[in-house]
Amino acid sequence: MLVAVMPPSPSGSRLRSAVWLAGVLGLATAGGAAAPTRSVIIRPASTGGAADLAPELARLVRARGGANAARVIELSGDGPADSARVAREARGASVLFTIGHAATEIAGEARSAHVVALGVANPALVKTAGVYVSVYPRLERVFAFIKTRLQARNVGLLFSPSKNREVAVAFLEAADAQGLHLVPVAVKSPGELVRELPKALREVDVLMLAVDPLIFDRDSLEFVVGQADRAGKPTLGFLRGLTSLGVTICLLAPPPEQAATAVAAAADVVRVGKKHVDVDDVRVIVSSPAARKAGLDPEALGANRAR
Amino acid sequence: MRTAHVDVARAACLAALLLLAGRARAQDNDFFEQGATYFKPDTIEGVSKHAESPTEAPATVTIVRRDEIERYGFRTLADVLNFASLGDFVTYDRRYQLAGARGLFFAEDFNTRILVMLNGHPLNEPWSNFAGLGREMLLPLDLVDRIEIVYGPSSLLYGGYSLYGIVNVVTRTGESMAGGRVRVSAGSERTGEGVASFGANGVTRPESGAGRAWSILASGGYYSTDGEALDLPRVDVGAPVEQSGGTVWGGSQHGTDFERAPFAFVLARRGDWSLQARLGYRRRGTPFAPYGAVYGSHRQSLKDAKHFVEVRWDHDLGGGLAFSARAFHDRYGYDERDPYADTPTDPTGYDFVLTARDHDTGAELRGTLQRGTHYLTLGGEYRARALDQESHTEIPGGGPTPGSSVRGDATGRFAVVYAQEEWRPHRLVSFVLGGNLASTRPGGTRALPRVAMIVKPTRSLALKALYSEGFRPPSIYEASYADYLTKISNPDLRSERISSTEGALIWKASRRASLQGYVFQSRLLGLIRGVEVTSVEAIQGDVAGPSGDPADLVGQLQYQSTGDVVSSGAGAALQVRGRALQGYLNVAYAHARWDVGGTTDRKRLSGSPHWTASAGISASRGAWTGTLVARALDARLLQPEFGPGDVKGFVEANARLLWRTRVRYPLTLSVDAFNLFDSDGEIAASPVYAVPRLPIEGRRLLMSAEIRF
Repeated sequence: MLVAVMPPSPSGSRLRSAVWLAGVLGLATAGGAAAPTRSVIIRPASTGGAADLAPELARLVRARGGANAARVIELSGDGPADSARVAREARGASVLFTIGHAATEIAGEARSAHVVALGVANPALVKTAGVYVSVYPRLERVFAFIKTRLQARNVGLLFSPSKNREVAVAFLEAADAQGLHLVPVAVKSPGELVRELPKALREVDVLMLAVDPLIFDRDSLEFVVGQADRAGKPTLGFLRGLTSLGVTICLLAPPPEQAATAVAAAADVVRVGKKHVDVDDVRVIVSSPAARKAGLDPEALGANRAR
Repeated sequence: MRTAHVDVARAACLAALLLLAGRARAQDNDFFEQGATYFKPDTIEGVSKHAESPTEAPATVTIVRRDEIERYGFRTLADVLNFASLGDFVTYDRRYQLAGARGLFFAEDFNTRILVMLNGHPLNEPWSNFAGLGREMLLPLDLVDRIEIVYGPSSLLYGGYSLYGIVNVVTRTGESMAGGRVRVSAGSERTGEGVASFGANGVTRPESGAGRAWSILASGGYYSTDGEALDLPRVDVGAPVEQSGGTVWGGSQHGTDFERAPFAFVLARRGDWSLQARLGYRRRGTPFAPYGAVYGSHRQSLKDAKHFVEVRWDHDLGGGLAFSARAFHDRYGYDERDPYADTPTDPTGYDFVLTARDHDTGAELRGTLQRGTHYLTLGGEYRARALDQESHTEIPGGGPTPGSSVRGDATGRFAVVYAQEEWRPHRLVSFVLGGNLASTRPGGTRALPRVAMIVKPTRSLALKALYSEGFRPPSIYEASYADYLTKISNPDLRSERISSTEGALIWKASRRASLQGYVFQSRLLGLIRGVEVTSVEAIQGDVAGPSGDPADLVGQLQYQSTGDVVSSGAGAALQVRGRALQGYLNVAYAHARWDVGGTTDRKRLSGSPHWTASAGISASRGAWTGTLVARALDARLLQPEFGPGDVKGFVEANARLLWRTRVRYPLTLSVDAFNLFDSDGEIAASPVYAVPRLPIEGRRLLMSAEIRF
């Protein structure tokens, strides 16, 4: 397994710095709030994945606002009980950082504080107004990687239309902007996956896997990886752990950068509608065996240190 | 009767399972568990009329999820109660799976004291409040997402029936079960089953950006078995139970234990609207020849048909305010045929034929307000009910015997209003306070409270102090039906009431292990039982027959309140969910005494065990899963009509081997062995049988293949 961190693009870096500065200033000016806890971090009960953002987020908030600046609430999974707890313990908070779909919905019910959401795969499925930090790296960077490192022109995107229709549209626009041809592989059932995937793999140079219920189903993921291997096409995902399950490349929005972006975005209060914020940095994780099977040189993909 | 236990086979089976577990490769499940973070789980709110976790529910609860249903090979709700519940048990007399719980079990009770629901829709029908735990009213468990078992009376929001508890069967949806799916099974006793389903989902007018999500799940299937070939001990019962007029009950028979059960089911949603409908029936033979009928006759059978449709609207107004409304129409049909040989005039005997048709039509409106630490639920439900029953005798092959037809009609109603407040003032404690007021005909008016305090000293530990009450209105048959030949009505019959005090704890020791326990005491007041009227003074409700002379009614059946039952006990459940190895253990003890009205004599209930236990262990390795589940039932008293004595306890075990593969499409193959060790357990027969003990089903094999496309 190889890991690399792609340097941020110059324009992205300036933007991020500006947002960061605004965030720090925002937190500093919000320091006069009466409540001892200004920020509350609402995290799911599970561990792994987005849930692991909570410690980093808490560290950053406390680093800027003191030891009492952040309180972490871990959800129990019981809707009414969690809502009551958030209402009780987040009273007076100016910012609610939420991790995951359920936490973001519950924060929306509290209606008292500005919400900054992380770990929501498709914000269109949530009613809560606020800032949404994308679970994907900035899509321009994703497609730039595909174009330059993979030398690919036809890119497949595997997703469930009921869960990721809006995300697919965003991918389509970003691919167009880079001059790439995106082939949507919309799959509604395990049977459709069997029927559609082999056809789609013939048309594409690389297959992207959206953050979708499909990839959280072991059978489906094994089938996708197996079919891509057989077709000699690389797969590209966006969650840590996918490469150890056979996916060729993972492009990750690094957790520290996600947390930093969320903290910076806290200054930008959104009470109506949703604002989408991307993480500019990209971490590249490559499965060496899978890359070699797909005829790729792991080193050439930008990965530069062994894991 | 079957042979003795095969100890070598037991040892080999356990060793194989442990070997499989021992060699099981640790699997990295963590990645696949992340899905619930990124997306909202697809759930249907069930027992409490809103989603809640076991640690927050004001009751002791077991939830059996889809992966466990598949892993452990449960086929019917009765399997789940027997092999995975904490103290519930099912007695199967080859007519019905009859539930008991917490020391309470009454012969011929027909599950009237347990509330069974499908996606929150109560299935208990109005004729005799019967709810089927097999294939009479429910669905194959392949279509089920989870089963919620609530122990003790919890009928606050439902109005009635949950004296033993509630079982809510929550199906999958067109979203969680998208695409086509076919399962076929075949096995011993010419058993065959086919179930096909199709699920689809999407968004209406996606291009507009304001579309509404929709989904549909449609399914149908057919189950058929010839049942077990039986050779029961011959007993002279002193009454004609042979077609020839002989009085010997028992001997060999085959093809009489048959069961046929087709069904169709639809669950559709679009935006705030949803519709569910179920059609189906179960017809089966009754090989143990109840009601003094001819033994071993293929003609004796019964049929339960349950059809319903429900339309529901769930609307979120925002600000924590939500409304839900549903309207439904249920139809239930019962057909019974019993052959008799006691007529001296015709050597072929005659058949007694009973037909009942009832319906339940109603609506419910409910509102919830979630504001800060408060969660308030208010609502009401109304059902209009009607029954039409007819019976006659007929010569086999001929029509009804002239003058033998007896017909009766009856109507009833069920109305309840309820309110419940859940208040969570502090992270350590929450309170649940509520009450309902129910008015039923028959049954009268009842008001019931619920009080619960839940303390969470740590995040992983919940302690519950619970007080709740439940009631069961008398069924239309019990209170209103009268043919004045065998049965009379009882207008004075009032609802049964149960009050329960309980202490419970749930300790989630880790992500992989949890422990649950409870102690309880309950008192059931005004137990309704059918009694034979022995004198005019014993007739209740000022009932007079068509002749106006009450003396004509002596000797007939009347349902009356016959006393109170006090029950107490405790139970504990351990569940472990490792990466390769999963298992559970449930042990429960209950002690019930029936305080017969007017006497100081407290009787132990017949047919009810003190101890029940169930356990399961399952190991996975790659595409293979091996499972062993078992249940143990303590000795039970015989029904008093059979005199003193008991039936011995028994242990019954099932095994499953499951293999996931692909033949283009995902394919799952499984082999099940039910009653693996051919345990010769017995049940305490109800008084409608000629003998006091009846055998449980013997060893059966079943092979299944399921393909998703």
